[in-house]
Amino acid sequence: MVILGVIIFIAANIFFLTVSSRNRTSSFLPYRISLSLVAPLQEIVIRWIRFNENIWNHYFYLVTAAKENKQIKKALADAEAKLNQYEELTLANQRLRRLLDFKKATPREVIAAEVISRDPSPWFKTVVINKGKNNGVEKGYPVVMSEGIVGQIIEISNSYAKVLLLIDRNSAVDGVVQRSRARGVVKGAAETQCMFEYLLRKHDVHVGDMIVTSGLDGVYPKGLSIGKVVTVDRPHAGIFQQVSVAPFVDFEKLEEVVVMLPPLMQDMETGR
Amino acid sequence: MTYFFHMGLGMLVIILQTTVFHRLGLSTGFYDLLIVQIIYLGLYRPLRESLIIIGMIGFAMDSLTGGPYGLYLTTYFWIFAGVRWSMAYFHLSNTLIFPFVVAFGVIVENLIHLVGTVSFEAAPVSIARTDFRTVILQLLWSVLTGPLVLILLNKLYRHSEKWFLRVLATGREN
Repeated sequence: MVILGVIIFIAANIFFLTVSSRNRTSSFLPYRISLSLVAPLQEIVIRWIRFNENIWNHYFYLVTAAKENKQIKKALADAEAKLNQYEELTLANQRLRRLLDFKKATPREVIAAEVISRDPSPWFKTVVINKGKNNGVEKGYPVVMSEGIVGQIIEISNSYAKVLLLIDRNSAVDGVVQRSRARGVVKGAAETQCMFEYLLRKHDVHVGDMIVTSGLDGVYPKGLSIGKVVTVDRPHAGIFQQVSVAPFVDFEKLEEVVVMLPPLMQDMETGR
Repeated sequence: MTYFFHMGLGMLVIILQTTVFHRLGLSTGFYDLLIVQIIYLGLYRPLRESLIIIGMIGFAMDSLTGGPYGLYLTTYFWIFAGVRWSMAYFHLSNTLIFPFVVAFGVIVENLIHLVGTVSFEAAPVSIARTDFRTVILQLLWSVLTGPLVLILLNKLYRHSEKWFLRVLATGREN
């Protein structure tokens, strides 16, 4: 009896499925009701899942982006640092090339040095360079740049030397006006200027004239550039003119200098 | 510990003043920060200890400057003496008086340097208008920042002293 019931149920089921599969396009009310009830819930669930999935993906995306951003920023900073380094190297190269040209042009032997510190007092103008006795530098040697004279060595240790700058009040260099050969003494005066002193009233000097070393002070060789005349004042009283000179060397930006060694005996004999 | 602290700090200030300050454009308009240290020694430290430190710092500065030998030693000694002497008449450790004390130190230093520049050099020297501008700038900087530096120095010393004593105590326990 039971077996018969099962068989009938299976047959009815097959029959129902066969009939229903033939009419798949026609809507069946209970299905529609069921769909209307379940689908909103499904939608809510799926949206919630997608929302979380989105957050999750975005979070990871942001984390990855933040990491990438950090790496890119670091790379950019490295590139900027390198660029800056290259620019510094280019500038140093230009300065050193000028020094090298100067070294080639000058008949005397020279030693290149770097400025490592400056005078702590604003009343005195000196710098310390990284060359000393061990490098053949001695007290009184002139220090120059391709632009002009810088000063002279006043103190020395084994590896370092102190240079009295041209603009220091105690500095005095024997100079001549290049055009008229009028002689005077260039003395340090203020931050950026020097005075060309002991120049007689009768001597010819104009604004823009170039002042060069005379070679008579026994420190600087003849013909090195000192600066340009910026003002000429002829007071009613007195026998000297008041002439101020702007040095060619920018003492605020001193970085590399050269120390000139005295001429060798054979050079002196041959007149080099 | 006091000698180590003050000499180390002095050396650091000297190095900064002769290298970094110039690059920051503070080489002429900014005052000598060691003045504050000398004032600190005058206000808070014993005489013998202070004189040794002043001697070392002054000597180091004299070796780096283009001025006559002993100029900084003289300067620091007179600032120290001035502070010590004034303590008998004024309550100098009052924070409100600090700007005047630091300004006093800056004036003394510039006066001595001016005398040193004019009197002890072989050739006659001239004083430019820029020198007065420099002194005025230094005074302004010192009045504005000097008291703060003095207070910071005092705190820094106290902290380092405490730290040193703690390290010493730990060492003894071990």
